[in-house]
Amino acid sequence: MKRRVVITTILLILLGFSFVFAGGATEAKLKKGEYPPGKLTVWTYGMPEYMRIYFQNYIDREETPVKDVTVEMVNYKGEGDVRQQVQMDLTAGTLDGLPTAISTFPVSMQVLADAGVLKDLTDKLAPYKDLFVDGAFEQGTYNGKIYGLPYTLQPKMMFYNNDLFEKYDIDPERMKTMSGYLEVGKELKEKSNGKTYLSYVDPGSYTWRYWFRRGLMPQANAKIWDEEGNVVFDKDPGTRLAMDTFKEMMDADLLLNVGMFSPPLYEAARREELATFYIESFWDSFLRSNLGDMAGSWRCMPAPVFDEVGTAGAQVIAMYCVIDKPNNPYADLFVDILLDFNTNIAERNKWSDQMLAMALPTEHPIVREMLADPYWSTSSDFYGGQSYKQMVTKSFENPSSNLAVTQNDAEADVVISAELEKYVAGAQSMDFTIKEIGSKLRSRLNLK
Amino acid sequence: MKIKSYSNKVNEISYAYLFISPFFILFSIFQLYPLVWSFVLSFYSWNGLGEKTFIGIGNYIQILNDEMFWKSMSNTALYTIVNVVVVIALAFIQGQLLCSDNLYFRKTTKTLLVLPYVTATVAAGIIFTMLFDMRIGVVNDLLVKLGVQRIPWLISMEWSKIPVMILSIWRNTPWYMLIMMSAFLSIDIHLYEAARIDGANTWQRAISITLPMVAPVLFFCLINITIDSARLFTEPFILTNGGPGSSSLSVVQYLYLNAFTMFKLGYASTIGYVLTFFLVIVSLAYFRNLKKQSGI
Repeated sequence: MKRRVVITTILLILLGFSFVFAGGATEAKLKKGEYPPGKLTVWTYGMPEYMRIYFQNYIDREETPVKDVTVEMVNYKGEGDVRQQVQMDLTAGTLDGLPTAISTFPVSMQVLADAGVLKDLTDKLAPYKDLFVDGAFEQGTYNGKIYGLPYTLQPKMMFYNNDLFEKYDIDPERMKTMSGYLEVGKELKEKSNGKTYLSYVDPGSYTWRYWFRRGLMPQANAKIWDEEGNVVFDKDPGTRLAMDTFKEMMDADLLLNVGMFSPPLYEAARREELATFYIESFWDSFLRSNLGDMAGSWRCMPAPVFDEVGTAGAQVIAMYCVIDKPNNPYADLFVDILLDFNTNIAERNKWSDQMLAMALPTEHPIVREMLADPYWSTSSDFYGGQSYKQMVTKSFENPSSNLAVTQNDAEADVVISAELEKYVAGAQSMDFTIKEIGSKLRSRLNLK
Repeated sequence: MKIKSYSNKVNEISYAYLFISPFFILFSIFQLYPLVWSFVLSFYSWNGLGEKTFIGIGNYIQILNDEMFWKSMSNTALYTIVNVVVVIALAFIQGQLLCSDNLYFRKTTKTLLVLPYVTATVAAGIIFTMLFDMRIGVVNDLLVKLGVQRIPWLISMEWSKIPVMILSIWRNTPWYMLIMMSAFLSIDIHLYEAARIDGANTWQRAISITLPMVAPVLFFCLINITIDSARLFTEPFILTNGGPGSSSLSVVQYLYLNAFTMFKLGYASTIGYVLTFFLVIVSLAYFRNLKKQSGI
């Protein structure tokens, strides 16, 4: 009796498992342009809610042939986490678990493209390329194929507290050049009796990311690698220019040592201890949501340029890549929605107003016709009547070229950032930092 | 008769294996297999996608020259030593306090002392970053009131490890306190009465009765806190992200960096095995010491 109970229990458990792993019903045949009911999933990071709203608006529109499709934006901590999740699903063989599309950066895009994970969008996007601003597809292209569909470019900008500049009678236009920016910093320090810093420096990895990789390095025409992929960081004159400029700011005590995206940073800005932010355009949404009480005080302008080089910072792409998997019924729908996002002026403007009302980011358009629309020159109360949108468009005009990206960049970022952090902490000189970076990159990556 | 009895024995053994098989199946799939696989992976170079490249002991040679790895190991060794000494000492004292007859509001005290353990580490870490902020942190405000200069806790290489250790001690002490408390409660109170009658003072009773009686539990706590401290990750990750430089980087955090930021899965596996090797040596040293002391 006991034996029968045990055997019956085991058989029932096995039967239960077989139902779990059994195949589903066959799909009904669909007409061209129709999509099966289900979920369009995107793995992303940052604040994906704002993009989800546009996707849902598209699906809800009467004229679009999409019914019974819901949108799910799964939010991860960062690009590395998204890539890690993709890798885990691929290794486990759970291809059905992969999403329709992912957000990613060029480094991971290259690795995923090499592994055959990403869909080649070259043919699909060819008819639309000329509508976009110059360079829009540069970072999403690898080995001559387009894998990344951009939805915005974030140019380097300067956000400054205009009240402080008026208080100390300093003309912000002097910050058009890097040398002028440094002079302004010294003057602010002097006139405020040491209270006001020109800007911030993060004690961790954000300094390399925001001050250098996307700012001073491309602006100074600096290089980490040469064309053959050898390390030239410590020999390149552009690197020297970028590093020496930063050193000058540190030596003159112009940068407040405080964590990026942290309450003390916003508190320092509120207390007039921070005058400017030299950072990408996404900083607009952080200012509006964390320093809403300072509405009217802030202004913005394109980033300052080095006199020797003359370009105003690299544009950082925000892009999606479509996953190339056997069963991806919403791949075309996803691309259609993204193209609509980039080209449908009326819907994009309506969505942008929705975002502003919710203090969410409004991505700046990267299609020429949309940029010319008057909506993208409207003034902003937060910026004291100045048009933030117009300033972003202006910041597109004089971009630096991005640093060349290789598959060693992820490790290089860790090595370079560690040495820079030691410099910022006062543990070593700038000369030693540059030398160490060069030497460690060569030994860790086995390069010349 | 003989055949029936043999058959019964076989049945009994079969049932026994049947009932323990779920654990061993799960153990084999989720622990044994990954253990073996990651050891094999440590001889390869692999970014998680595409082909793996066999490089023999290349990863192990690289680790010998990896300055960041040895820095993380020395940081972790320091975290472990401080944790072991301070946590065990505090757990011992708090355990004694909770067992004391003279303690009022025992339940409230116990609840307050256990609270750090049930607080989410990430939430506690975020609060600690604000407490230890150089300019607006409460800790520095207190120091200024005491006439001490502000300390750059989280932004200097000299001080960055301190908040990490404080958070780790704050979080871990309650668990070991509860273990010590239950060990103290299991000691026969008549031993203390007899010792009191014989004229032993508090210190002598602690050394001659309490410590020997809780020695096995103390040993268990030592092993556990050593292994837990060697696996420290969340505290440095949240507070300082291992920086500035790699001044507060723990070895598990460095493993994570290699695996999921640099996507060097083979090398990350190597780091895991080197750490395991050191932990095995430390554990063997503990057991050897225990054998010596118990005279076996």
